[in-house]
Amino acid sequence: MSALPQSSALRRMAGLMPALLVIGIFMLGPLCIIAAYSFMEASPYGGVRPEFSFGAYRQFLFDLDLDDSLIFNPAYLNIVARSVVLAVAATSLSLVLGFPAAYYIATRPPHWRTVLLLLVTIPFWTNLLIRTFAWILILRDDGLINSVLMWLGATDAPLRLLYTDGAIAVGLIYSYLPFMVLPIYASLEKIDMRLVEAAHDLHANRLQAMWRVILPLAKPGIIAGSILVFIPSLGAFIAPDLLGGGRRLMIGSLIHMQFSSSRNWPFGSAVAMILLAVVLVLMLVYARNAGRGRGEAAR
Amino acid sequence: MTADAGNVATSKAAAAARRRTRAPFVTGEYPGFRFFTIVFFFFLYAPILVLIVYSFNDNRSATLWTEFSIDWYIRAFNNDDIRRAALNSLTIALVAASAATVIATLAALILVRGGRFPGHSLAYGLISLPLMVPEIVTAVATLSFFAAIGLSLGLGNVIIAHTVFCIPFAYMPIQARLSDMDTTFEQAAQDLYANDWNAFRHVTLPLMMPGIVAGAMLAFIISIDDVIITLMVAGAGSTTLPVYIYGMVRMGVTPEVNAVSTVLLAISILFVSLSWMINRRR
Amino acid sequence: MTALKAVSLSVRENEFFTLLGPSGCGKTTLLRLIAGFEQPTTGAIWIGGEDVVGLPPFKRSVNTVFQSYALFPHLSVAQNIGFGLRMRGFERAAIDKTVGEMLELVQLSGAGDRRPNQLSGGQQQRVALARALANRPEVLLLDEPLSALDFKLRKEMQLELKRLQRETGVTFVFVTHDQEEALTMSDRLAVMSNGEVQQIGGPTEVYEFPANRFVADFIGETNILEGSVEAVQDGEILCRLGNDVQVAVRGRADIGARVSLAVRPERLSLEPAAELPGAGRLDGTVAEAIYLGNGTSYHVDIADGGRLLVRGQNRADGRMTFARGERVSVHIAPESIRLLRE
Repeated sequence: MSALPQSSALRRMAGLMPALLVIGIFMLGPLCIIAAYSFMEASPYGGVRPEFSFGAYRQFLFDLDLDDSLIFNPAYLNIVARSVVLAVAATSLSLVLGFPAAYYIATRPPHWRTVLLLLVTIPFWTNLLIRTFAWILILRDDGLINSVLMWLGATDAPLRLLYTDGAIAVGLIYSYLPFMVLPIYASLEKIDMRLVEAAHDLHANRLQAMWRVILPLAKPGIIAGSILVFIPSLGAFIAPDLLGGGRRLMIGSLIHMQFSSSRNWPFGSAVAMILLAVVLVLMLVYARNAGRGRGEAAR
Repeated sequence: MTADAGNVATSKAAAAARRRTRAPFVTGEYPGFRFFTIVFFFFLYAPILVLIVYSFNDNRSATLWTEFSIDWYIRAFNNDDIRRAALNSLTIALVAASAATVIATLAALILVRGGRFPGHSLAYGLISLPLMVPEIVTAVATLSFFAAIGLSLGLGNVIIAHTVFCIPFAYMPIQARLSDMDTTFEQAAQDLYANDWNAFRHVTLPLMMPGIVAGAMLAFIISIDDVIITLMVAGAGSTTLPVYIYGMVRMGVTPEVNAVSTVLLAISILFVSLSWMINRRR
Repeated sequence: MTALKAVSLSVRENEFFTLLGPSGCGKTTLLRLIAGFEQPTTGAIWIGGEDVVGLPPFKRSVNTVFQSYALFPHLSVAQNIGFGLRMRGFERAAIDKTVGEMLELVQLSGAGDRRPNQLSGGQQQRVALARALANRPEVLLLDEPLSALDFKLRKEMQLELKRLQRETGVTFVFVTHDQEEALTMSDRLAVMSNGEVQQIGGPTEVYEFPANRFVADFIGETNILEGSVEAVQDGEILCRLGNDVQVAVRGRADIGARVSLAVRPERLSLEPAAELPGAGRLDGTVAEAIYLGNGTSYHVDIADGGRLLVRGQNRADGRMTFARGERVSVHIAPESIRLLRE
């Protein structure tokens, strides 16, 4: 049954063509290009030499010795590991901070809910660069926190806050916190509070009701939120670049570097492909999780 | 139970006294969560407030508050580079957001109202692809692509790149609006002698308009806020405001950045709030 | 899946015709076929003198009052009512005039500039009616239009609909699952089930002479009695119910056949238990006595097995006539028994 009974294949083509063409050419096209680049050799002047090679992927794990033997070099793997650790830290802290807020908002009267929700979304739509930059003002040696601490006499010399892993983590949490709150809110809002009443009626105290009823029901939202924070954190560029001072690299900064200062496009492409693969796998998990959530709701 | 009458009376009185001092039980209330929420919103908004306050500070060192001043705004406004970058940002965002909105509206009409057809999920997946690819990957990929095909249209390159990632952002509110819309409105129009085109023009389009406006606004701010992709794709003459700010921040903070950033922040907040209010009116 | 099997019915001009049936019986599909929102795989639909199969909805002289009303939220009440005329290219003045008349017809003069969401449910219902009637359709289709209204308003709108139908002379085809609504409002009704028409007739005919077991069961309350035919004569059959009760019923059946007989609870009467068994009488015990306000519903367990539902009057002082556990005789008047087609 359709609202446009006459809608023919022709009409469909005409309506979808612009979107498919634009994204197909200018999104899929570029992805294919870097997929190809990742299997080529670097030209010393930037760009690529069109010769097939696994060199870029090899470089990710091994250096070449003078006699062409492979030497394991964990430097890049360390960057990946650091990115994963930072992304996991940002995700778990976002969950700890975001869940109670999402829950509190979801249990407000409807009018308050929409207002609070808008307050959550506003920073999400504002400039990521500027929001990260604001943290420089707060964290740097003569920034807000150090000024206050020194004024209070808590410390004589400024604490080193900026250009640390901690600063990067704070930046990541700040960047993607709304991604955690919104899906959790969505799943909490759907919970019928009579279920919680039933739990209390059956002698569950608040903690038990939270652990046995609310959290299991909110699980799809928690998983979705965690993935939505983890993915952009893993590939983040601005937070490590500005708050990590460009020396404490994450995958995103590594990729950027290969296309700017290091001029090794094949290697940059290879790292980008690895990041893309990880993200797409996580997205698949997310989509299956979301699909299951819908199925459960329907039942 | 063999408690005597006196005992029962005193234990009842004690229970009543306890009940008076106890906070009333409300299902679903968790006492500490309110505090967490306050911390949450403080964390979300404090940095933004700090930035705004600093932008009005007279002091160059930007650490101590000396005096209220709009000096930095005046200076930023008189900076030719900033004005050029702002104009670029506006041009790019206007063109990219309009193109993305038209493209997204057409696609949403087909994908929501055109029934299921082979390739339906594929088309939907392709439209949401820009959302799934990490920005840094999109940025270097687009750079490589333009270099490979030798396309150098100046602002044109940036506009194309922005249109691509604006499409899913414009698409989402339009799709949401359209799927919430009851198809009986269109059926009623047809029942009242409207042919396909009239039903679309007089019923479907006006009803989906809030979604279209919201989508256009979101696409606009997404475009005007973008750094990473523009940073990679933009040539020398097509620097946008965020890219300019990025350069200034990397070279060392001047209070001018605070002023420009605050203006950009205000634009974003204004647009989100407007788009929210428009989409809420049903 | 077929929503509708072989359905053949004709609606007369100026008639209030109702399609009645449980949900999923095909009545709404039938309505949507007439309106043109769905296409039949086979068959024809004639409106006036024209086969409309294949015509889009906007080329049919029928209009629909939707279950949800489907009033355009972005247009005023007057713009809603004038929508069809505007689409057909009428002039502004003509549209305004008709809209005014329609507002008056549904007693909403002065509400033309309001938005649909500023109106109450009953008022929205009137606007939906006015919007459809403004086009002077040959047939007005109403898809459970009263289901969203509360009881009192529904009763009011039932009268209102009857009045509008009388005043405009338009043929109404009304869909409902509410048998009481169907009986009070219709000139004729079709009872539907499983995509088929079970019976077509006036309200009295359908209630008093249900064609089959489904109709008897669906409309009102009914006792179904099983019996066997013992004799046949002059269009009557003699049936034996239980051990020693014989009744004569109008109808045809073969001798020895098992038949189902229907009798309405209000056509049965209760008497204190008789000493001796007699013709047309079944003895039993009151198993439940349910007070209904304007009467009492007795569930009587019959001595031979089975249970009968009897609707009894209350006594003048308001008390129930019989109590639970009391032994009673159920009296069945032979002329109130209907032979059912299986």
